[in-house]
Amino acid sequence: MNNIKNKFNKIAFGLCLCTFGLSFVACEDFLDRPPYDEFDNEEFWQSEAQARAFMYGVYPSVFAGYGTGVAHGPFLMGETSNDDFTSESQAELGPLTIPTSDGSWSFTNVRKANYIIDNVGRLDADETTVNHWRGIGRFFRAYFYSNLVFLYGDVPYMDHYPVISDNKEDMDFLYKDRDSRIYVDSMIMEDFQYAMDHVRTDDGSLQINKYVVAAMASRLLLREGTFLKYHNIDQAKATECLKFAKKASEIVMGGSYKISDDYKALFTSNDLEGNSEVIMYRKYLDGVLAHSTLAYSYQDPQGGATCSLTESFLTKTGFPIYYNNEYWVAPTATDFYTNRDPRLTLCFRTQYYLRGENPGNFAYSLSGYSWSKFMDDSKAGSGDATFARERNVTDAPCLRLGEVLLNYAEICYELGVLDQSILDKTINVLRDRKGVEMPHLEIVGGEPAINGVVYDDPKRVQINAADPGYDVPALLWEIRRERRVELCFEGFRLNDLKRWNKLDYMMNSVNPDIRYGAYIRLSDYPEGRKNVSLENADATEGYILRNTGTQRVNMPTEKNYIYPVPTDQIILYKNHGYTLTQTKAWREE
Amino acid sequence: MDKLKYYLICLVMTSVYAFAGQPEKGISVTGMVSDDNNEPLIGVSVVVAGGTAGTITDVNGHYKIIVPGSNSMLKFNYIGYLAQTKQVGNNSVINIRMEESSRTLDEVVVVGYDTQRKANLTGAVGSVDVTKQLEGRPLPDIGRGLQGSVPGLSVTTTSGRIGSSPSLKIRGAIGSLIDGASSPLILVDGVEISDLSFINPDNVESISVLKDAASSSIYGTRAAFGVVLLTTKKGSEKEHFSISYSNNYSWATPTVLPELAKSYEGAEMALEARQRTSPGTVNFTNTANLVWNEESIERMKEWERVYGGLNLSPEMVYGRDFEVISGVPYFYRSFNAAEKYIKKYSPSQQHNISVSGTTGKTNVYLGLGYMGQGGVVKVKPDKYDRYNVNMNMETKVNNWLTTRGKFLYSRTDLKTPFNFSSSSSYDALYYLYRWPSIMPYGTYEGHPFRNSVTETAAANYNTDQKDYMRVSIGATVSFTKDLSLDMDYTFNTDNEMIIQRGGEVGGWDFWSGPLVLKDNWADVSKNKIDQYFYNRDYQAGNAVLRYKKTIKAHKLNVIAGWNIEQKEAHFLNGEKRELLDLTKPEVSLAIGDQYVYGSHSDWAIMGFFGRINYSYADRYLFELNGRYDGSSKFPVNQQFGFFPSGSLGWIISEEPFMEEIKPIMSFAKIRASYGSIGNQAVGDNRFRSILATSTSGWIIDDVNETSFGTPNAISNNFTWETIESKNIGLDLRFFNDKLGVTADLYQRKNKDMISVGEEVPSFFGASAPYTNVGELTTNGWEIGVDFHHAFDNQLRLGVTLNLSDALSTITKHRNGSNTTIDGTNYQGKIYGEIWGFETDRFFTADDFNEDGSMKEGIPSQAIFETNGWFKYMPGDVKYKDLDGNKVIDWGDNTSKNPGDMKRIGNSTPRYEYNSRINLEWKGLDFELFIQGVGKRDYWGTGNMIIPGWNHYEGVFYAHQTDYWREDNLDAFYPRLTQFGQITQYSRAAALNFFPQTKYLLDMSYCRIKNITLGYSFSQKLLQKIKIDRLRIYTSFENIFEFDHLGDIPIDPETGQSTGDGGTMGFGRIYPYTRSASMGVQLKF
Repeated sequence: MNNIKNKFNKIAFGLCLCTFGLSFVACEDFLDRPPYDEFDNEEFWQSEAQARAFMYGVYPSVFAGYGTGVAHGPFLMGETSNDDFTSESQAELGPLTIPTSDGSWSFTNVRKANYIIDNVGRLDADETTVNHWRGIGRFFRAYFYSNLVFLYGDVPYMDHYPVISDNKEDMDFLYKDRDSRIYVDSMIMEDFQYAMDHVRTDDGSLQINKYVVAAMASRLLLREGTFLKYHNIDQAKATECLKFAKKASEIVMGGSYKISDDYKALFTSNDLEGNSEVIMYRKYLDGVLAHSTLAYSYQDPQGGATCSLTESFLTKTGFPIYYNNEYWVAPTATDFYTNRDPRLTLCFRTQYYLRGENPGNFAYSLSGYSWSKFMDDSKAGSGDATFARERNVTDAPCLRLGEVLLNYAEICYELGVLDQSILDKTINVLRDRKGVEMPHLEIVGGEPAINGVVYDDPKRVQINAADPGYDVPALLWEIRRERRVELCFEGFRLNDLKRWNKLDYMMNSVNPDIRYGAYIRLSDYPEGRKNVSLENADATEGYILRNTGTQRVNMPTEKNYIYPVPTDQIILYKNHGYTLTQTKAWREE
Repeated sequence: MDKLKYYLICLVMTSVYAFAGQPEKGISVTGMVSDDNNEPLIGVSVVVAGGTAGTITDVNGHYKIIVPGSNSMLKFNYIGYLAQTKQVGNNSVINIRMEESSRTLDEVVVVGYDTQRKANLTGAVGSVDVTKQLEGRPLPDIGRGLQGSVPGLSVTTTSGRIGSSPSLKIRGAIGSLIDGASSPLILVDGVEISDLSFINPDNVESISVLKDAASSSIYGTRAAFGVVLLTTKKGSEKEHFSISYSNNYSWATPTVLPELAKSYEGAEMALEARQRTSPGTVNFTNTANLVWNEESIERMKEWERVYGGLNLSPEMVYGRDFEVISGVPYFYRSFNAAEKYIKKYSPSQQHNISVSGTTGKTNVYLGLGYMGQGGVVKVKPDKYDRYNVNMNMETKVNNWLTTRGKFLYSRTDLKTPFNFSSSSSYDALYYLYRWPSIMPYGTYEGHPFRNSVTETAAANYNTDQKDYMRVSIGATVSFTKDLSLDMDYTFNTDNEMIIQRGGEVGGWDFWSGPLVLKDNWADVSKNKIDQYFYNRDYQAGNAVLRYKKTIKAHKLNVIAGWNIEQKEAHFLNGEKRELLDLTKPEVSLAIGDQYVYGSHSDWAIMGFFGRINYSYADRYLFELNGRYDGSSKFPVNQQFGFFPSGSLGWIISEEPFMEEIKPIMSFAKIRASYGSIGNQAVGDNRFRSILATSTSGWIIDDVNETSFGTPNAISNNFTWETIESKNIGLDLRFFNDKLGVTADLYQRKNKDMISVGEEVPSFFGASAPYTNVGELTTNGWEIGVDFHHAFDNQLRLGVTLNLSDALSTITKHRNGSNTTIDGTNYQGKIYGEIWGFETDRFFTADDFNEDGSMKEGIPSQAIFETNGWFKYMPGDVKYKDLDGNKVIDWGDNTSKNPGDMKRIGNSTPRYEYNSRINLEWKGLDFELFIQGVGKRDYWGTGNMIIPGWNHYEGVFYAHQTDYWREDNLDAFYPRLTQFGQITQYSRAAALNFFPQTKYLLDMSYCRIKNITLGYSFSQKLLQKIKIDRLRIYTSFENIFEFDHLGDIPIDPETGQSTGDGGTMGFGRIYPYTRSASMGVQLKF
């Protein structure tokens, strides 16, 4: 009896334990554990707040500003390969060979933009709101495609989100060949148009709005229009792009933006909020997000600007420095910086900083010229910790009215509609800026003039004579000069040279000034003289010769303007029975 | 304590009298049982064979027993000793000397959910001799102690950093290309533990290593790369409580430290290298803004001549030690930074105390432990402490129910100085060797200069405190004699709190221009209190039904079980900046910006498993395992998988036809196993379209806005990796089991290896989704030999020797053999392979024409002459033209067409071996433990390995001064050149340091891991002071090694770790240490 009871006890106990064990796990969903702290695609695009947060991730790719950490944005040293920066040796213009792989041939951002466009419809919001966010997605797509087109010309156009599947249609789309640049340009304009029509006029501070879209369209379609024009790809499309850019610029100019009274403050301010000229800026914050642009203008040695750049700034009279002078020379820094376009001294320090000389607060510059556009020198040596590398927190003006005005003047010139009234609401507005106050640029008989005096820059004549490309008319020369001066070190120069078909300006034979830095008297620099070479080794004064090493030999060809596609992609397409066509200039005939 | 002793002795005596008091007819036999050393053995069981009479020996080893007659056989049994049987005959006194058994075959080994006799094992299972491996050594953790314990278990460390856990790998360095997925499952008492350092080595009873699928598959998807099974000590079954105490005091000193070149030598080298690029360079300025030129080098020489070696005050004298000329500071005085920063001897100590025994039907074990390990940092000493409590209790409630409870608690505390360096991954030690010896480590006007010693001295302490707590309850129900059910439930909670206490540091700063006295040069982000909390809750339930039956020669053992586990992790990090008082770094006392981050995740698995063991006549052994396993890591429709395995063995020595050679070969067994296991370590959410959260870098209203990434592309056919393993083994024992040999040959194949799927065009806009497209094969072998012998003069000798090797190859991959070999994975890649050139010699003047061009017939090395300034000259490296095409090149840079490259080495540790020799004689014991790696190559980068590797730093080391000059043609290093941080895969920029045979580091070594010398006091003597065991010992760890690194100052065990500067700082690591220790082991 006892035995049976004992046995029963055992079984009962075992069963109890088993039931207990199973009861807390019997749930079928035990193994289905979606992540707690991440959004699945299905869970996203519910609210406008989610859409807004998603977009922030794209902003820094579009408005990189001064970059972060030690990495540059487009400003200052973000782009040093042009005729503004000196270097000891000149590499041949690239690209030189077809690369096996190429990180720029990337559609990651386009995919992202398409992801937005394809999904905003799921937002639980009214149509206007949905269209606003779709407009931002299309703005991004237009922006990224503009850059791809500018690099590669023809590119495959992605109007929806590609998928990998066994379906032939999907694969045909995934492996589609390049669409023509002209087609993609139309798509870009459609996107920009949609965005200008639907994106809100004001969506709060540091948010993309209609004016941001329009200002970007002004920049990018001027770029594309002039590229098509000067590379003679499609004149009709060029005009269409330029007209679009004109329309976009007019939207911005019709807004409430005003040229700021303080040129310097645009680049040295810790807070650009409320600056009347700024359409979009990137905000920096100590300890959170900082850059090094000040450090590169302060205690870090500088490679130095070319005299090609510094000499392109006009004199205070509004005439170029060589105008009426066969040979203009400023033997000292004081001479050089006196009576010049005030923007020169807003961009440069008024003394030369040679290596080996006691530099005071500032590091040396290898060309002598010490740039200071992005630095408030009055704070040098103050011990302000935010002046150190990776601590700089000045805000970056990514889009400003000044640029749009310059775009507008150039667009109008290229469309053949430039007249004095347009100059007066563009370039002359910039020249009227408080603290700049330069004489107005005038048109007299289609030629540039100052106070009614027609002039022609001897440098223009000299460069046109040496340049195998087209001649730049005197008025266009002045419009381009104004752009170079006003937008100095803002990351436009190389792209400008490319779209103007003027990479020739980076050749010593065409533009010998790119070899040199400041003109100095050796006796003024007892220590620094040891570290510089002059053009003439025996001379006691002259221009600092920076290009003492290799020099560029090969004149630019179309290959230097449009990138090849990497071979790994061509092979991949071929292996899957598809074709990816190589850029024309790079095809082996 | 004495009281306890008294009771214990009474207990023993009572039992002796209990037996002795029985009235019995027959012959009375007395005697003494002793061990090899003639020490009395207490508690030896003495029984009459076939009868009921029995007794145990008393505290003096004496026994008295009445036997029925002279034919009676007396059986003497004692755990750990060979049983003896003696016929009584006419003897009334029978003294017995027991011989310690070699224990090998009868040893019971813990296997998956069970135990097994070693002789009956059919899978590849290794067991660790815990006593020899872990006791009496100054070990900070079990992981390090396991190095060299079992063939096929590889334990590696990347540096000597305290508080860091070593990496354990079973059979090969890699089994899957997914990061961190190739690690074994580590179980303590059947339940996973996330970090072995939570366990006190003193509490460990046994350790088994399950190496093949057949033995590990019962644990399911996390056991794909083997299992390490630890069991903790239980209360001893003797009706007797004993207390053990042991300690260890050790002093550690770095094995090897980098040594910088003399100030002027290094400066000259830097200048010479720079001048090759930029002839006429006058001033060398390094990254830290240290400047020197010919004049200042002269001053350094002068300083060294006059003051070198003198014990100067740290206060620097202007004009003597440094000067500022034209605003530029020049330093002349040299320092030994290591001397300032690193301790010569770091003390550590360990104390363990445990109580163990049985009372009534309950047995109890209680272990307490403390370890305090001192780090090497002198200027702000770092420290690692661990406290352990371990309690095990088991009660036989009645004849069918046994319950048990376990409690385990561990606290570890790591205290390290706050790191002011800009990158959190590079610590002060990295910077210590980053700058030349003129870096000023002194003071001026009482203020220190900016450097890592100053920063460390000014630092607050960071703490990393981990609490690990585990509670287990369980019960065994015995339904019948043959059928029982084990049920166990375990709850773990593991909490970690990291506090980084930042601050400010100031002094003389010249790093960004002129020499200025700054209050603070550290980034604002360093002035903070930053707290991290981790909480991980884990629970596991196991139920195992066991059935055992023996019918004549048939033995059957069946288990069926169910396992369920779930883990949930929370993390919260809060940071607040601008401390009001740097000495009170607390959140409530900071006023600046505040940040908060967090995460929350979980996973679960469930599995049903079973095993059938069948043996016939103890000769033919069969085993079948299966597990049906489910994991939350997979899509709902693919959560479960079935993974079977099996093994068989044949004990040939039991066959009648082997009878004749039994005197020589006493045991022989052949084993074979085959099995597959699913691997669920496939990365998180690879089958879900997740929008990864990120900070955008876009600031609005002082907030770095949160954003989300585009969802990752996913594959529809994503599933487990299947790890298939095959094993053949042989176990032989010779000469009455004195000599044993175990050998295994295996192959492990990751058949559905997860890898980035087939390449997609860039137009796709995302990386290809992960799929199961690859295959990785590991081939390897292991051999172990052991020998035991007791000499007549009471000397006992034991020798073990283990050797193993494994190599993995990617046998299938989306990247074919025409993929570039620059570190990318491709089909045919041998894991760890290093491609490079064969070094021929240095160029000599004879190789060049007058104009500096190379002579006809010398293979061109123009592929390196692309940067405009580098042209080969005498003293540069000449590579060998292996393909004979008169040009040194790398072909297509593929394994198919590697040009003149070949596989010059492999970074996988190969031919790992260890050997243990121990001698015991009359209480004296001596042990020598050798551990080594037969082959391991490494292509090192960084300034310490490649002279001038990052020329901006301008640092050279003492061993690099043997470089090629006109007056030193026979040098080891080539003509000085500057480099821009070349990696192993830099091509044209590599110049003289393309990976090549001459400068390939030979990291093989043979290390005397441990020498221990101990003395156990005789039990007879101890008895008088009521002590069971007293041993004193001295132990030396890492005492000496043989390596092939020459004068390159790195420890041969060094690996690549991100925390120590990675490829940039290779060798400039937290040093490995040797140590001397002594201690006491006491039991009463």
